[in-house]
Amino acid sequence: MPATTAGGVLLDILKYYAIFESACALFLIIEGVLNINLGVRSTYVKLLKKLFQFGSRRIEKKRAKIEKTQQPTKVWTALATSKTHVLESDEEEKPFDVPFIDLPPVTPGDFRLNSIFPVVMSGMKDIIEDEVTKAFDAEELPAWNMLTRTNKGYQHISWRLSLIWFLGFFFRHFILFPIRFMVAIFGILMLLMTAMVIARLPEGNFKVSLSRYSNTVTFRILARALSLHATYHDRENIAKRDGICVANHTSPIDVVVLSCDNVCSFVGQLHGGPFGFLQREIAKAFAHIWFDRAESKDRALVTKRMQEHVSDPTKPTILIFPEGACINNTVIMMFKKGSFELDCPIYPVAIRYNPMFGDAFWGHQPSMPAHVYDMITSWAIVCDVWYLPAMTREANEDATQFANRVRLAIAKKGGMIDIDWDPRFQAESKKPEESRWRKQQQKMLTEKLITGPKYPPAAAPTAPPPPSTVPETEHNRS
Amino acid sequence: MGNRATIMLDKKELEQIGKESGFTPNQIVRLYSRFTSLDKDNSGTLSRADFLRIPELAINPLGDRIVHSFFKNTPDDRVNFRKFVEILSVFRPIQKTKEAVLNTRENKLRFAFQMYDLNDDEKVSVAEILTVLQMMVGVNIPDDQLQSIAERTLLENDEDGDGFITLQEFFTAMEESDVDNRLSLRFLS
Repeated sequence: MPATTAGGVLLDILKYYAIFESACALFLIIEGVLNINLGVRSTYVKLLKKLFQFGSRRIEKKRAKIEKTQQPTKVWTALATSKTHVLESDEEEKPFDVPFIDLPPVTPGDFRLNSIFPVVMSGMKDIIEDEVTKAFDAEELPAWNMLTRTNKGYQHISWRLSLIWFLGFFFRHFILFPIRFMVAIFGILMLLMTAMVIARLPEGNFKVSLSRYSNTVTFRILARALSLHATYHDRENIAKRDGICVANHTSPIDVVVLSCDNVCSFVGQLHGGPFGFLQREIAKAFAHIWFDRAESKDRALVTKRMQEHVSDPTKPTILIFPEGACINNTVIMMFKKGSFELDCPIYPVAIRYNPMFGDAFWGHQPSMPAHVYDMITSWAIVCDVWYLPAMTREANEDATQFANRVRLAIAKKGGMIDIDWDPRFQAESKKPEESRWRKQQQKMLTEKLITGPKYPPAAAPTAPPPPSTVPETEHNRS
Repeated sequence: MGNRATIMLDKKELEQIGKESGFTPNQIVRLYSRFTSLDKDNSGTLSRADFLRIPELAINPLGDRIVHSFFKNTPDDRVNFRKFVEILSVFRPIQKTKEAVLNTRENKLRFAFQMYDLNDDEKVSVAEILTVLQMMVGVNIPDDQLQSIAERTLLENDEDGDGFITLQEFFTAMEESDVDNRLSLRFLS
């Protein structure tokens, strides 16, 4: 009967499909356990790179430009800041796209009716686009990478492109996703089970080495669940257990990226629900530091526990994300100074994701599962990790200055823009931040408009503006 | 991400807005994306708080004045997308080859004038100049010094000596100013 044969064929297809998917999952798991790398992922990424060649190269060029400048560009708004940077450097182009025309310099110390123009225009520019809000939005891609979520209304969608998109969609959701999902479940279960076993072992060297080993293996498996392709640079600087490892924060995946290469202890707040259960179980076997809500507000307690951990030679390096919030990986924001107050070396790490393959940034996704689903159905998660040489606090530095120094080093290495804004103040109550910065603005305006500069201007005001401004305008009158 | 909202602008609206403002379709789509990302409660309109949620604008000494200019003649104190585009289009650079739509020199100067005109009565007094100065420099300069700067500024620009700077007098005062460059933005498309 044709019906049953059709049904039979369908069942056969499903059977082979399930076998294929499971085989791939098993292959990845074995790869992880035995720590062998058969190069499947790198070949896959190379293939994808060819596919996205154009867009990818554009991103890399943009970042290289940022890295080339002497200092990571300090984007702190309004008038003269960005302008003096342009005048000082020899480059014509700014390292990032600032959508406003260069304004001629204000005559210092001489207030006129048109003195407010630069202030007003700065505000208008920020209404169109501002660096801080942008930092909490996913990074803009120079070309579409075939994911629906990044389709910003690119106008010309031809049927050919739609076909490629559909094939990609099918591949990602029906071929990749089941494999990765199985591997991820296996990884989490393994994490739980090994944690439960190890927790019951007596204290001693065996327990310590076993927990390290299982930690690394589990995270390697989880990395394969995300098709994580990480390149680790400067591994000679890798964090040792006598200090604290700090890194920029983009996503919960940062933890997986770093744990694959080095055993770390995490520090964080205890969540509720199943995730909290996981946190508690694994803390019994691995030396993570979790705080509940009340404890995390007690700075002294936090510092004490961290200090105890650092002094214990059996415990692995602490991993901290001093920004305290997920940022979109193009900028780096203010660091909380807590970890910089301890008397131990800091091992800075810069993590840079390539968003063409899949955006790891945990931004507006309301929940962790939705975010993880997004990542498991991306093409791959591709990132670079740079281990920076250890830094210690100098005698004349306080914790805040030290934190800033570390932050600048990470920003420079990772090609990120440095914004001196506290990311927690994206929330409603940011009055203290606001008045601090507004006062700075007012001080600067006072000097520029009323009292005159206390130092000679950075460069002669006759520097010609970029040629793309309106032609034929005479710039020698203003 | 605000990008999903790009689908909500239909072609006719796009054309209409393009004609009124002079923006290209790509520029309008970008502005719409920005508008929706500022519109936190998805109401299709922006409140003053929505604007002041932009950190750089909140700390701008003239931030409140800038925001006020968007809300000047709006019913129920909310700004819709068309108004948003209308005001921003004033800052498009003046192009020699195209006729200016809303981005005329007069409109640009009128916007700047509104920064000073605190009570919206179409003229600027010494007190208003003083208040703007206070916004700009905060507590760094004593009031009496600011007062004399304000008075000097008024005298320099008050042609008919009536103690106020009218819009016309403002235009005259700004004749030498490179208005187009100083009051224009480059809009990425």
